[in-house]
Amino acid sequence: MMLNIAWIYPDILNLHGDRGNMMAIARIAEAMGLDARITKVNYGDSIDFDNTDLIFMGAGQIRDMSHVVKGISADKDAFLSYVEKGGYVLCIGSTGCALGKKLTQENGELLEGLGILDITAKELNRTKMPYVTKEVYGDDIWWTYNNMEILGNQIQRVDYTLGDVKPLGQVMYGYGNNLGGEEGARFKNVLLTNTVGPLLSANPWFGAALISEIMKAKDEDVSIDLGNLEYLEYAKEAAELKKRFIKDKFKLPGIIHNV
Amino acid sequence: MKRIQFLFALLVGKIIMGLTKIIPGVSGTTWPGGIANIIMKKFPKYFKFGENTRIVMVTGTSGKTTTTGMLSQLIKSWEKTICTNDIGANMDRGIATTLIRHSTMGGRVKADYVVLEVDERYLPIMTKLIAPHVILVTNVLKDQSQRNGEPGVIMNKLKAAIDGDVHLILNAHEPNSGSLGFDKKYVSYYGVAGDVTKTMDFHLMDVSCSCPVCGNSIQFEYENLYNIGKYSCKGCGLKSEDDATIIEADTTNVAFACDGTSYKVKYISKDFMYCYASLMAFAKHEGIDSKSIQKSIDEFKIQSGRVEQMKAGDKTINYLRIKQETPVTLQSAIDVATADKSEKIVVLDLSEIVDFSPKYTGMYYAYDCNFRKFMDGSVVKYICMSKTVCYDVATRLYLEGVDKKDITVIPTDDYDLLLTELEKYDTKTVYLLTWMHSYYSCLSSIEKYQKKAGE
Repeated sequence: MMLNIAWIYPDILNLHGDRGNMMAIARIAEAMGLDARITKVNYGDSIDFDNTDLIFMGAGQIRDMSHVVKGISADKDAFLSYVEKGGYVLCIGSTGCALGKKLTQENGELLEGLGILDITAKELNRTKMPYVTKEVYGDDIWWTYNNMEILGNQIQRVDYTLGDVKPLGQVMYGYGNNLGGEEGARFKNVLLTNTVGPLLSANPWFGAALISEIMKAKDEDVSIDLGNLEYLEYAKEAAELKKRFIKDKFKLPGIIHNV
Repeated sequence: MKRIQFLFALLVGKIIMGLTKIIPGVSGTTWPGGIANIIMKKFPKYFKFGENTRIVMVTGTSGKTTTTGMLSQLIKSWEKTICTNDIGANMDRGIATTLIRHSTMGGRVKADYVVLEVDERYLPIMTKLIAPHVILVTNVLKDQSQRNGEPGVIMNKLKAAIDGDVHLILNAHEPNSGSLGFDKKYVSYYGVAGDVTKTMDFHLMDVSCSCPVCGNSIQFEYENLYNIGKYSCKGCGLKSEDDATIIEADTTNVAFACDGTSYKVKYISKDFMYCYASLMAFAKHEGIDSKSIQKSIDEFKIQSGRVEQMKAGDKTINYLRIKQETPVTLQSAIDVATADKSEKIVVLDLSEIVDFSPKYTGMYYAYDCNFRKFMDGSVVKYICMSKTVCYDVATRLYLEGVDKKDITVIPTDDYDLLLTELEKYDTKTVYLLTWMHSYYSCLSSIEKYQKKAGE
């Protein structure tokens, strides 16, 4: 069985070691008895939607979002059709601005997104929270997705406001979309998360759940059992150490924690 | 009125500077300037410089301190007087302190050259206070994401700091730095020659970076350091400037060549080569002779605690310091370790990040680096240590293709335990890749170990 992944603009959307997600998904798929075929879609290339099970878009710089929107615009109708038909997309960090409706930049300029996700974004200009700099909030994030605990890091450059979409998960500790307790967004099978780490290398159970969903949608049943995944123990130990580390920070003002 | 206020702030700064010599724990590199800045806003603006004093600012992601140190040594070797913060206190307080130290009671800075290392976030602030004649940019890369977010944030700050008259000395091989020269009148570039056939090892997981001008993919003809090499953009045609001061490393003779002259050096790694290249571009711009250049290279010493070799029992520990969240420094350390083909143990102490509040567990920058270089058969064991992210680092190695049996994880930041772990192996050469704060704790553990062993 084959899992076909289109890796969008790998040179451009690779801000926080995002290629680690591709390294991880290949191993997770292998442990689930699948072959992962990863195809790089470089700027100017078209996406082969008919032969794609998952579109992966790593985190990119705010400065590059207009270019990303422009690049995908050529395929916008096909992209919308892919999403309507239940195609899967995993999008990380600020790249959600490109999939969303609009981004309000710090200088007041508006960037129109592709409108695939009903979300809006506003570039951070924090003046109240006492952490690091006004343009960025960096911290750990701990959240839940379908009773699964996800741990990672968050380097947040925008506040997301969700429209007619559901949050992807609930924040147990961290900033999430905008300090409101919600993490990421989901519309049909388009998943947006703020979690870097990278997400799939640190949380192979999330990758397995995602792959399982994708294969079920293809009428191909796969086991979610990760017993064959050699680095599973590393990931479990890492998650426990991070939880311990995060609990030490609960006294910090301003950050949500619902543990 | 402002003059009186300035003289008062300066006097207080000088008194505090004297006091820091006798009060333990108070930093003499930042406190005097810090207090003076509180007494008077825009305090550095009111210093007076000689008519012929040249003011140089060095900024960028990595290599600032080394480059500033090299330029300072060059100016001294050229027998000119200098005022510099070459100890790395590169924000407003540190720079104000440097000026206090080198000025008269009347606030006159007596030096032929003022060479200031300036934190890239502070450059727009500093250039408003002191107008530089030259700005040298080392590179603008991913760095301290928790503070900077993305290179684009820093690029906006640098663009805001550069006005039409300043002379820019830019890294021709780093797209962000190189693009700062676009449409500027006074620019010179530098770079290091590379080997096209050696450096490109195509792999599905290899990625480059985005173009600062059009956002398309940057393609490297060769990559000397992480995202630094001869490049061109697939979209807008931005490329490495051809008219640049290019130096050529000569590893056999531990030297480099530039414009037909060979210079003997002490440090031959690629990151040092880029510092030497910037030195040559600066020397060319200022008209400094080759004899002074060689003298300065001979006399230049890097700060301790960056690259060190220590003995512990039968082991030689090569300590390589990285700057966390900054892939270029981790990649440089990997490159140094992999250049040594002898059998070795590699210790990765990437650790959690505690520079700012909130501290956090980010180690994703390790995914930007190429660990494949280690897999030439010379590494017999990888040890991942740190209190919290050791298993994440082990995952990183595993995902690169390292066999799990070759990885040992020790969830601690205690170097005593590391030294005990190392005793289990016959291999004599150890590379320890770690962050800046751990040098002295490592040293202290080794001293304890040597004492116990009666060495």
